[in-house]
Amino acid sequence: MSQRNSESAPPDIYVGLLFVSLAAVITGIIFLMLELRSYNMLFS
Amino acid sequence: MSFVGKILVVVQLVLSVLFMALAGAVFAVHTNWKTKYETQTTALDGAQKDVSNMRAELDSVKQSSQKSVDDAKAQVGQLSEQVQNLTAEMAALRKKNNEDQLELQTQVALAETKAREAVFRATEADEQRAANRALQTALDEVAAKLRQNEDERFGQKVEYENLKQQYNTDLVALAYLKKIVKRHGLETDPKIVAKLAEPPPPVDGLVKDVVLDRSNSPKYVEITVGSDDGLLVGHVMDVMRTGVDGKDPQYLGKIRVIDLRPDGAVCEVLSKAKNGIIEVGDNVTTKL
Repeated sequence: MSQRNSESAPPDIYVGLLFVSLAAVITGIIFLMLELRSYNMLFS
Repeated sequence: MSFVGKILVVVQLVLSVLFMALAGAVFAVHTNWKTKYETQTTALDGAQKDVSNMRAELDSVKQSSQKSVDDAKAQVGQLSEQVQNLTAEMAALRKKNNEDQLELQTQVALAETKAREAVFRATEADEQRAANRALQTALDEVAAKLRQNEDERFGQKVEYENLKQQYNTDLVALAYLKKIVKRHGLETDPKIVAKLAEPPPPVDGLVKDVVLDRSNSPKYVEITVGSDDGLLVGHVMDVMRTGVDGKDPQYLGKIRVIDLRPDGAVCEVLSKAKNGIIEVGDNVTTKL
């Protein structure tokens, strides 16, 4: 464990999955912001 | 990475993808409710305005309808009254129609009777024409006879006028002759003359009175028989004196009646016997 903390492990598939998940969350947030903007409820 | 961390990452991934899908779906198929709200609000305002207009129009229509209803009710009243009047009139007309039907039947029956009578009259007229022709023929004959009679009558009239003229002439002559006869004391009444032609009835009487002339001989005598016994003026009687005290009957003369009464007569002495003078009480008779 301490070895894992001192040296960065190479990115594996799960890290990629986490990035994909992050991108999906951001995309979803953008969709919701666009939806809210249509009601003038965002940055109004 | 532990197994749980791996599972969590996968779950994280799945939920993130689901979140993105839902957000994308919402964004892709969302409905802009604000715009729709504004649109609906505008539509609502228009609808409310329309409703107001419609209500105003409805009120107007209601008023006009009420007025129409009132007018219609008044008209219904008038029409009801008119219907009653028409019903009464129709009843009267039906009654009159029945009377007219009855009258029509009567008139039809009368017309049929008249038609039969007309046929009978036509037949009778034919018969009358035939009779008329016969009568016309008879009339022509009678007219011809009448003309003939007229001619005869005219001839007789001319003859009558001639006879009348002759009669007047004869009357003048007769009057002249009667005057001559009267002057000679003769009877002119034809009835008396006709009776004088007959012999006097057998009568007997007495001398009632004697009138003498200047020579003292009897001129007129009055006797006791007259017209009741059948004597007439002009009758001639004999005067005689029956034998009394043994003397013979004596003829004294003839007398003629010149004036008559019912119970006596005055006679003129026609002839006198030489052997006697007529005296009161002597007999007169027509029986000799």
